[in-house]
Amino acid sequence: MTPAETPVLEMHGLTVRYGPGCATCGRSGWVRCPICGTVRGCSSVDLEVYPGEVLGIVGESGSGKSTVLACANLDLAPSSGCVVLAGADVTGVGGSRRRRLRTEVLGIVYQTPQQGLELDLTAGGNIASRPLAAGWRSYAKVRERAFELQSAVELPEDRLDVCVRDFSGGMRQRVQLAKALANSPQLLLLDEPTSGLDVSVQARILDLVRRLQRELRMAMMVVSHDLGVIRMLADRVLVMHQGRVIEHGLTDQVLQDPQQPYTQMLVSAQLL
Amino acid sequence: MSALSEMARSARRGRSGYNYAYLDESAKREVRRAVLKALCLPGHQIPFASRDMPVARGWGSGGLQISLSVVESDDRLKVIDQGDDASMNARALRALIADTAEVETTTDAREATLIQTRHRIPEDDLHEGQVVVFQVPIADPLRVVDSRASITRRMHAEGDYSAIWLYLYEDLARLGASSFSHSYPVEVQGGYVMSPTPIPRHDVPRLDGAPFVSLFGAGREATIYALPPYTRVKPLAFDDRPFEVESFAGPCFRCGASGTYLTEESHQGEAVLVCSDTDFCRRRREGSA
Amino acid sequence: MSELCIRELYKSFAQYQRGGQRLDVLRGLDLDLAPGSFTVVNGPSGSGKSSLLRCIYRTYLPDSGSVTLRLADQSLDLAAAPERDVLAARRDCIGMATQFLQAVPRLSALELVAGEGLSEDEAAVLLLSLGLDPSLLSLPPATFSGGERQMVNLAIALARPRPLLLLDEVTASLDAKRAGLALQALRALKRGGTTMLAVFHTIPRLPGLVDRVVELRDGRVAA
Repeated sequence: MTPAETPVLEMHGLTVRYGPGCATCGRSGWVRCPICGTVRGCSSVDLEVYPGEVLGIVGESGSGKSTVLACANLDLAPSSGCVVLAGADVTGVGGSRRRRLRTEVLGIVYQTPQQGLELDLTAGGNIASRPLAAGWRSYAKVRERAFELQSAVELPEDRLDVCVRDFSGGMRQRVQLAKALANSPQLLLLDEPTSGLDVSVQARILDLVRRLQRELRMAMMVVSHDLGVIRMLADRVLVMHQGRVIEHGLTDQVLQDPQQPYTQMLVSAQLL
Repeated sequence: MSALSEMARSARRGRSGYNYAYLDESAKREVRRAVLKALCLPGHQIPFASRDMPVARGWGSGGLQISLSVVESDDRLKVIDQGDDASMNARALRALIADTAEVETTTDAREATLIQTRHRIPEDDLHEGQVVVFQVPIADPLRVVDSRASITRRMHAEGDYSAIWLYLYEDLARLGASSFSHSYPVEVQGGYVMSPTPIPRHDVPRLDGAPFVSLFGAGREATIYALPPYTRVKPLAFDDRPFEVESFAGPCFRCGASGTYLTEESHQGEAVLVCSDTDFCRRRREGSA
Repeated sequence: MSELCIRELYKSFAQYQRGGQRLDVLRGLDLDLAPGSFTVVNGPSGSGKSSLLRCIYRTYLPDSGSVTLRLADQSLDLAAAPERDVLAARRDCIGMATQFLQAVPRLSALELVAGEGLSEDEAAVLLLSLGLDPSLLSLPPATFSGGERQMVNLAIALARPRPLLLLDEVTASLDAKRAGLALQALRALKRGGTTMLAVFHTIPRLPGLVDRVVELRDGRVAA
């Protein structure tokens, strides 16, 4: 029923091990190998994100969701398995090719703004850094793009040339979002985008992300331990536990009819 | 000729007790190798084993090592400091090179074959066959955007100059103009971004397609880079915010030249603008420029 | 040929937090819906009426059986289809209106309805036709009463007519007048050819609306 499209992101058999690895690691069910101490970040993860689609990954701290995200952002090369971005195998790429992919295909919003922003630069500079990296050399055009994005993320106009260090947490997340969107990425990665914010700011940021995702018809991958964030943003969701995907499904289905004991526990533990 | 007899010959020349051109032969060879590499990769920073020199690091030791390594006895030497042949530092460096390498000196940039300079290019149109040696305080143009050499090396290697463009953007957004008054970053032959050393912006366009050889030596940072003749050198600037040189209120107070780089001087208690290139100014006044 | 064909549908819930206790809800249910028909599912509380609707919409994952949607020359088993196909079907083929509204906090009623592809004027006309007070149009439904939310919810479902519409107690909190307006809107939709499967607290008596009432008993359609 759905037309054949190329996924923006595919991961096949993605496994990340932190440590030397040994013969026992692969076979044992341990998260941390008792023989060599290698920690399993994630194990045999398969996923696909299609254009215009929002995939959520939910799980508790240490479940491996951030490992998967780091692989998608090409921060981390998997121990085995592959990462395919927009149809091209990019497993383990580095250097200028990785930089180009990050500039042209990916956008990311981190949990903490200082990970994604230069706090000593202006908001406009942070946003402009991406078009500049893509080779824009007209000051007026870069400026115009920064203005566009600043209004898209509802930042006050007079703050564009103010140092990000002087911004509140919610405003910094808006700047991160504007920066991530600056080159119209095919895939936007969100790593706990609202975890550090108070509840009212959280709701407004999520609202904004949702609106922009619909307007731009952009694929997104959202990683969060917060089911509320996933419910609000994701079409489909993967549940991760101890490095493995233990359940996947439509977001409302996983939240209302969780199949796995762990997921049921997770859902029932939510403060609603 | 064997290396031994070459050393014996050079030891006979120059100031007694010193090797010809102060440095020993293997040191000169190493510097020349770095210079050749640098000429092959215009704008690329080549590390070299910067020696201890009889001037403090930061006082032109890098330029001095290059000059001493490339100087030949039939060279004519000019040494300037900010355009001035008579400054203390220029005199000391000139004396050292001239004494140990037995070369003639001149203050006329047109006659010189080897020019060591700090922070200026002489105003005269230089020609083919001349070598200009620049003293470099900070070799890496990306130092302003990141102080970690490991990071800037990666940026150079990948041709990732977005950080310096961002720096230019921030200047325009916050100040309305570029904050680079000197050391304006330039793109060399469409490749590496290079610092032209603290020459004023006035001198930057004069590097573009220049017929002379430019050698840059940073003694403290143990780095050499170079521009072979006729290399394209383009100051980094947005398409719609072109690079601009300094503009001055009025011509030189002394020689009346306009279009030269002027500095402020006190004349009978009043500030006046005069040519920074003192020899050029003197020759104009004497009618021989 | 039926538009929706349900065969041998089983659904149970395992309560792992209650020691793995299983609760059977649907036990081999068969049901066919003719195109353009309006079917009401009836039965006592807990007989699985809402579960049936949710199994069709894939909010619940059936244990076994098939839920085949047939439209033009295409057919899709909603019980087993890949997630993306179900999402596409939800976008284009199946609507669901429930008595509860899970709305985006900051959007106004008007924006929510217009978000389904209407102009703001059309959305306003639709909401007013269901009896919503004009002063509420530009307010976010999070502050609305249960009945008002239900009107917004129904308007969202009506805004973009899909071939199949599932209705779960959509008039439960409405007063008699507004319930009447809602039913009239549904009848108009039926005349437009939409197939509907509904759960009502009390079966509506509006002429020309309900074609068929099926009774659920023991997780099956009673003969």
